[in-house]
Amino acid sequence: MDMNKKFTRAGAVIGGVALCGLLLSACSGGGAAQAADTAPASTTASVPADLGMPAAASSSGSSVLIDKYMFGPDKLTVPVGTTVTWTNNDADQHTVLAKDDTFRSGSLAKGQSFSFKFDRAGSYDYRCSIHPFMVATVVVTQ
Amino acid sequence: MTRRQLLRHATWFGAAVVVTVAGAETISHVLGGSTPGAAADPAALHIVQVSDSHIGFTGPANTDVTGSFAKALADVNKLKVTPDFVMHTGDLTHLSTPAQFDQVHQMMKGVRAGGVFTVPGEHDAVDDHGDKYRQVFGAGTHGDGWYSLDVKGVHVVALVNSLILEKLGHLGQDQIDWVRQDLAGLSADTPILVFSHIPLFAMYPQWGWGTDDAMQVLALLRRFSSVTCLNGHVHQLFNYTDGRITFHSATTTAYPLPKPGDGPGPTPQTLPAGKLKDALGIREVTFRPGGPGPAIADHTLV
Repeated sequence: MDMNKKFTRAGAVIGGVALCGLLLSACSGGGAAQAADTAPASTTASVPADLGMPAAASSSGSSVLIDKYMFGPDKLTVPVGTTVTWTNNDADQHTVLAKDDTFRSGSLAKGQSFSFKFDRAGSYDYRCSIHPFMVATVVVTQ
Repeated sequence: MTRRQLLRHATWFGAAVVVTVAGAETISHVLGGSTPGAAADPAALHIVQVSDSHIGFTGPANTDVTGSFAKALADVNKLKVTPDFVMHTGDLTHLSTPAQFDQVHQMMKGVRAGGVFTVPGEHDAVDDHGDKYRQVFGAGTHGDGWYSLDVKGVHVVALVNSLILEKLGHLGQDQIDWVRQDLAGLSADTPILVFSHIPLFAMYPQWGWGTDDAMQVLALLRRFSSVTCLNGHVHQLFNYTDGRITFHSATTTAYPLPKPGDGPGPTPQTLPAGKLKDALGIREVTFRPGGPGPAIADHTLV
């Protein structure tokens, strides 16, 4: 977070989210403003309460962990109506950007998450817009 | 020097100089010092390429990208010959924030050169298809930021292939149509120098190191006797030849990436202490009248 000192505008946004994460309260508002500026209304973003265990929710089958410049799993199948949450575990920043622009996160720092509710069945290819070699798919079934 | 002034400058020189370029010739890789014999020929075109400064990156692969970029620009200012222009081939910033663009802009003002030009990388268009990039660096450009200029008899084309990213780079039909018009009036013996962020050749498509519609532009370039394409993006030196078109990937001023296919993906590589500066560098490109082709000299940071 050295950047906060050097780059004031970026610092204001990222620092705000990070502080929010430390306080572990009222996170979703600030996070959503930062991460979902162009996303549909069904999108939310938040800092998970437990930064150390971002993969804990994977048992529900609706989480994607961004780790070592990969989306895991790179093909996730969920029933329609599921909210999928991506969490960045890398020190570098990542984004989640649907090929057809259905969903789009802002820049996610380590520990930050982005969520999107899939209301329509289909196959959604997405990538990290910062590292476009990172590609993956969410398959939404009826 | 503005683009317009450079064009005037070019016209003035271009009238007196015939540049014959048969193909690119790489004189040295990762050597100290300046290009041998390049000094003090006012008819020669001297260019410096810097790339992938990633201002704003904070990972262990380089904890001081700002310092590295400053060192690279200081090295440019130490060259024996003041370049006609310096070209930054993209990923100026790491995350496209206004503060990061402003910092690059301010730093590049300190370069001693006839002009400073840029093309955007995908890190310069993380969330806005390059709008913030163009606010700072897009003056006088066409479309999403492409342009051309003529200097000392060489036709220079700067392309944008980092904005509409799937996995590979992409130029788009508007830009390809513009290139067709831009090249239409040129004689086949005009040396062509093309800059882009992402390689225009298929360096390693599995990692996105290629441009899906580049063949349409390369087809337009094949009638020219000498075409040199310089890119960034891959953070390492790499040469490729396709007929009369030569391609030269440049290194970075920020952090190395693995060799093509070496490991699971093109992720920042943390080198042993003291080794980083050997992976970073700047590139001199010299077109000498009557020479065999552009001399390309890559220098590590000194």
